[in-house]
Amino acid sequence: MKLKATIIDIICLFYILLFVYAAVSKLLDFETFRVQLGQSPMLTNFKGLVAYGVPSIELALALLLIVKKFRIPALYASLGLMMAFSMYIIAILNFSDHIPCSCGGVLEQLGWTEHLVFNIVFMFLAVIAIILESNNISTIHEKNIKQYIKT
Amino acid sequence: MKTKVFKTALPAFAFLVAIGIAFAADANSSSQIGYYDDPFIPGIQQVQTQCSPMATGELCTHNGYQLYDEPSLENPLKRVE
Repeated sequence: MKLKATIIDIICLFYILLFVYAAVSKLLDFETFRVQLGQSPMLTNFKGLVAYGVPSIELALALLLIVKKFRIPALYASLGLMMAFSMYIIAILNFSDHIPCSCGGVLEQLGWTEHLVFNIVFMFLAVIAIILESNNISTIHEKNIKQYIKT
Repeated sequence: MKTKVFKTALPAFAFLVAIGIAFAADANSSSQIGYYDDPFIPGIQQVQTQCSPMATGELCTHNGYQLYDEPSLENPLKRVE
């Protein structure tokens, strides 16, 4: 039980580090981020929305991952966001030529394929955390019910 | 109590570490925006480059057009060697 909670905490910490780092890097070099989005044929029409939306969502998810009550929805949302990024990478790899990654900071140094592997690892971690957290919640519910029946 | 502090302090610390790393990486970043004038597209265009106006290498171009440091097309960008 304690080990499970520790694993969930560590995975959430990794996500917080990733999201805060990526969001702050984008905001620090916002103009470059916007230009990079404009260079992408898929995002050029929504570059304003995406430029403000992605860092905001990343920071919001990092905050929600801290609060235990919101952890499960935040983990599902994090998984969804990583899946969306991965689908975008797959589309870039298949349909586009040279487009710079608008990932922020040192993540930009990764190639698209390395980035896809990185995302898959994080998606895998999110799935593990969701399963463990769901198990934790059902164990707590079972304990509460047993205690309620006893009294 | 100890666990509660640990659980709140650790994510807050992770926040600070991530912000610190982002600032440090930004200070080391060499990428900058280059501006060019494509006569077939109205207005000045922007592109991300690894070039610099201070560099001493060859002139930086994008699709054959010279890249500049500013939208007023001053200070040509050169490759960092």
